[in-house]
Order: sequence, then C-alpha cells, then structure tokens
Amino acid sequence: MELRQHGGDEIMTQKSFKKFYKNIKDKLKGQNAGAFKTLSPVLIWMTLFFVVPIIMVIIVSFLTRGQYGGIDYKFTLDNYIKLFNPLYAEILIKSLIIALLTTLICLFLGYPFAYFIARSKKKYRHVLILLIILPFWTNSLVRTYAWIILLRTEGIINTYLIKFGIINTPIKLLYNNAAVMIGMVYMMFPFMVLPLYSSIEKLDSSLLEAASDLGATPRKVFSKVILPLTKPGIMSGCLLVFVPTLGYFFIPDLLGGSKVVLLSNLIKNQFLSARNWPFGSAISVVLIIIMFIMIGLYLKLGGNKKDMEVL
Amino acid sequence: MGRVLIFYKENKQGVEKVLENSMVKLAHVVKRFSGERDAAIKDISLDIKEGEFLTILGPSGCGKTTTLRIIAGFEHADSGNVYINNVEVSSIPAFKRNVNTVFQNYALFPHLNVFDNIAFGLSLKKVDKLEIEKEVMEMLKIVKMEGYEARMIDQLSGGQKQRIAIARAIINNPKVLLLDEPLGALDLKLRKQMQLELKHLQKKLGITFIFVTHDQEEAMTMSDRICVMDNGLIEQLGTPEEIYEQPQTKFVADFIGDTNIFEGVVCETHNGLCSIKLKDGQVVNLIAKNSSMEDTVWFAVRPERIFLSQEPIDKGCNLSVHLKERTYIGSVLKTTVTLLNGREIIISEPAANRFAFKGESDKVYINWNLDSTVVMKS
Repeated sequence: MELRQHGGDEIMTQKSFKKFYKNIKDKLKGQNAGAFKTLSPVLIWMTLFFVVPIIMVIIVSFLTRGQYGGIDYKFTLDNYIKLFNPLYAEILIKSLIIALLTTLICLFLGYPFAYFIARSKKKYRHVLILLIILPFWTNSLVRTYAWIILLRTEGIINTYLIKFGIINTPIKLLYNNAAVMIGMVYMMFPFMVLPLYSSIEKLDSSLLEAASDLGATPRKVFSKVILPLTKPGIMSGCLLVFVPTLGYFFIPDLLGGSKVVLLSNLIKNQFLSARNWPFGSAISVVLIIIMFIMIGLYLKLGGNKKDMEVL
Repeated sequence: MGRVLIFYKENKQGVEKVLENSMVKLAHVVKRFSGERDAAIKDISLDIKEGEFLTILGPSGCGKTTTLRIIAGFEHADSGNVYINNVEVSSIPAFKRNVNTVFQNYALFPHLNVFDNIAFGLSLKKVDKLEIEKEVMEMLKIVKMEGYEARMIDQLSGGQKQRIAIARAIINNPKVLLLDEPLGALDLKLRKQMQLELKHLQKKLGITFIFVTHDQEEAMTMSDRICVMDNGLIEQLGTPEEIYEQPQTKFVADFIGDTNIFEGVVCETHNGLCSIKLKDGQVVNLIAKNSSMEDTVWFAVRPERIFLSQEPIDKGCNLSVHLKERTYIGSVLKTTVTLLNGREIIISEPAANRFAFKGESDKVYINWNLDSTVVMKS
C-alpha cells in the first residue's frame, strides 16, 4: 500500500515535471522566445542567488536552533514569538526611527542640493554629479572607518576644537546614535540626491515662469508647482534611502560600537556571533516584509518604477 | 487712429509719467546676456496703447522674445525703463505685475487638470470657490472648451492646449496679454483659425495684446501695429499697410513679403525727382527728397507692381532685361528676369496676364509706376 502510494507520487512528479519542461519548451519556441532566451542567464542567476536564498531564509526561520549552532529540522513558531519580546520590539522601533530620521535628514539636505545642481549651468552639472558619485569608487567600509578617525575622542574634529579653544575636554562624538545617523546620512546621501536631481532636472522652467506669471510668490511656486512635480523623485529618493538604511549593519557596528543595536546588526550578530540562524532568519523575514510594504506603498502612492532607476 | 505721443515729464517724485492711454512703454531698454558679445536688445523704445494689438515681428534671435520677457518680468533690463499702465515696473517681480503670458510651449501644469490649470491664478488670489467655478466655466465657454474641465493636460491636442493656455491667462483679467509665438506649434489650418479667433477675442475683451511671431503673414493678419525687429533694434513700427507699402529699411522690405531691392547712384535731380544709375548702367527715375548728386540710394519694388512688356512703356520707369523663367502657379504667374549684370528680378502677375504677354523673345522690358518705388534708408 505504502509502496503503491509512493509510486503514484513519483508518477505525479514526473507528470508535473514533464508539464513544466513542456512549458519551457513552448516558451523557447513562442513569440517571446528571443526575449526569453536572452534573459535566461539573468533568470537563472536571479533564481539561484535571489529567489532560492530568500526561500531558504523563510524556511530556516520556521526551524529550531540546534544544540551547537546548527539547524534542527523541527517546525516551530518560537522565532517569531520571540520577536514580540520588548527588547526586540524596541530594537525594531529604534531601527525604523533611525531609518526615518536618516531619510528625512537626507531629504532636507538633499533637496536644495539637488535643486542647485539641476539648476546650475549645463557644463558644471556633470562635474557636480560626478562629485556625488565619486565616493562610490571607494569601499564604503573604508569610508566608514574614515568617520571613526574624524569623530573619535582624539580624532580630527576634537583635536581642532580643543586647539582653537572652543572646547576644553573632547566631546563624545563616536559610539552613539548621533554617530550612526551621521554615518547613515553620509552613506545614503547620493541615493537621495540622484533621483531628486533627475526629477528636478526634468522640470520645465517655463512652468515656474508660468506660475509666477499667474501671481504665485516664490514660496507658492515651490509648494504648488515644484513640489508636486518632483514628488516622484522625492518618493523614490526616500525609498532608496529608507530601505537600505535598515540593512546597513556595518555602520551601527562601527560607529555605534556595541551600544547601538539595530535590526541590521542584530541579524548579523544572530548569524555570526550567537549562531542562531533560525532567529536571524526570522528577523530577516521581518525586514524583507517591511521592505515590501515600503515598495508597495511607493507604487500605490503613484510612484513610478522608472524613477527608481538611478545611476 | 492718430499716433500722437505726448509725455508728461516728471511729477513730484521725479518719475516720468506717460500719456494716459499708453499701456506698456519701453524707454531705451538694453539687455545683455552674460557671456554673449552682442547685446540681445540694444536700445528699444516702444509705446503700446491700451487695447492695441501689437505684434513684434522678426527673425529668430532678433530679441523679440527677450523684449516680451522683460515686459513680463522674467528678465530684467540692464538699463532703460519699463512702464506698465504708467507705473515703472523694473523693480516689480513678475508675480506682482498685472500682465499674463501665453507661452510658446503653453507651459500648462501637467499635474493639474484643465479646471485647476485655468483656476490657478484665481485660487492664488484666494477668490471664493463658487466664484472661481463660475469664472472658469465662463472662460471654457469663451475658448470653446466646455466639458473639458476634468481632462488632464496630456489628454489634450495642441490646439486645445493652446485654448486652455489662453483661458488660464485671461481669467486673471490682465491689463496686458503677452503671447510668445503661441501658434508656432499648430498646423497651418488650425493656425489660421486661431489667428482669427485671437483677433476676435482681443476685440471682445479689450485687453492689450503683445504678440511675438516670426511669421509675417500672421503679423499682417492680426495686428493693429507691427514692430519689426532685427538684431536687437526696432527696424520699423507701423500699421501692417505702412510696413508693407513703405518699408523704411532694406531689412523690412526684404523680411515682409517678396521684394526686389535696387541699389544705384543719383545722377540727376530735379525737384525731388531723381534719376538713378543702377549698377548695370541703366537709369530709372524715382522720387527721393533730400537726395543730392552722387548719393547712393536703395529702393524696393514689389513683384506684383512690376509688369512685363515687349517694348518699353514710358510710365517713369522701365528696364531692359532678359527673360529667364516663367512659372504658372495657379493664382499668379511667377516670372524671373535678369538685369544686364545678371542680377535677378522677380515679378508676380495675375495669372490672367499670361495671354496678354507671351514673351516671344528673350529681350523684354519691365515697367512700374513711379509711385511703386519705395526709397529706403540703407
């Protein structure tokens, strides 16, 4: 009985596999065959290194931690229940607040900056944009270390502040929330400026003239024309800053010391130090869900996939 | 319409006041853009009257749009004064000026629908909502776009955008409406229709229109007066008829319609009647006061004022020419002849003339009446 059942299953799988195979074969012959063939390396790549790992993370998040840091294949919801522990809830909220603040600071600093670049003379624009992109050519870890040199107690900023007699004892700049925020804003700034720049640059200056012609003060021109027309840039900039900010673990690690624990370095710690892969996976799943919510929100609010394409 | 310009010079504040019915006045306006060698506007003085339809006409780059932008307040003159309704406005920003502009590319707000575009100016003035709605509906009726208020701008055709742009400007009841080549993007048929509609609208509303175009036919059709510009200077200001019949400069004669421009030297004068020796040696008569012997004179004769003959007809002016080409193009007969030195002259005759003159031989005569010649300053 058991054997027959088993055999039946096998036939089923064979059938469904054949169906699947036929489906692919059809695709390879059909109208979109060219596109399908061209894209297949990308499809394979994305499946192997993006879809499969995410599925693995989701599966692992429902399993039990083994005695010595491995994984026991026993289903449990404990990893998710553990997340409701006030300690972790606090970390989640703190992470969201830091990501939100980073996004807002980037927006308020980035908007005038992007506006200035987009409205400067054409021959300077490329140079200015290049200056924004330039830091990308240096490893971000190295750049974060550079901030340590600037901010630490015997660091450059403190040294000079004491030298000029502004302060007597060094200020504590490193290993706190502010240091993490500085690092985050610094790292994410270009991701805000570039989409903003591209939407401000597209802005037809005759629309601004038309608004002022119709009696709009400069402030009204901004709120009634510039702001609504650059909304796609603002939204994609915020998305591009908010989401990665949640995931950059080395910035809170390096600039926050052991004192600032965010979702990102919590995950890192669960995987590397605590060797609790299932719990690390559960937090990762939460992070992934937050990201999907953000992207969903973005698309629902009239954001455009195209506006996310920067660089 | 008499064109008497009287200035009340200096009131107590030392501000120059201009004639009451003057709506827009430019006085020695100069504008130079940084990085450019020549000034965009070299020295322009212009007085536009209330309710007038004035067209600024000129080739691209002549400074006509810059002039308009200075009146609108988007550019600032380096020197000179701009008056709108007798008030010096050089220091008044665009949003405080009681003028509205219809832009070349319409510049309608893509994030707003037709209604909100038209209501933009009134809503800034915090006009009552019901009042705005009433006014917008009225405007839509005037520009014949009823029922389109909920449309987005990208759902409109070029001609419709044009109408909305006009409605958006005139709803504010401006003293002056500035139109920067507003019909340039429309196809010929629609453009002709809009020309007449604009003209009627201007009559109906009584608003001063300042219209910028490079299309001389458009200028002729619509304007009370035309201001021909070239190279940052006004070449001539006058009614369409004056501009066409009495061009004062070679540029105007050449730019407005087709014309033949002759250059010659005065070889005989008698009470203003001069004999001019052309470059090919032939002599013609014309009336040029203030000319003396050996002066170089330029004069123009319109192609439709010239007629051909086998033998010279003595009506004051005739020249011996070679017949080069005769083309029948329906309404008229286009003929090209050459002077003895090879210089081409174009002639346009009513098509019916093709039976009167056949052109049997190569050597023919062109003739015109003495009053068909227009003598020009350089």
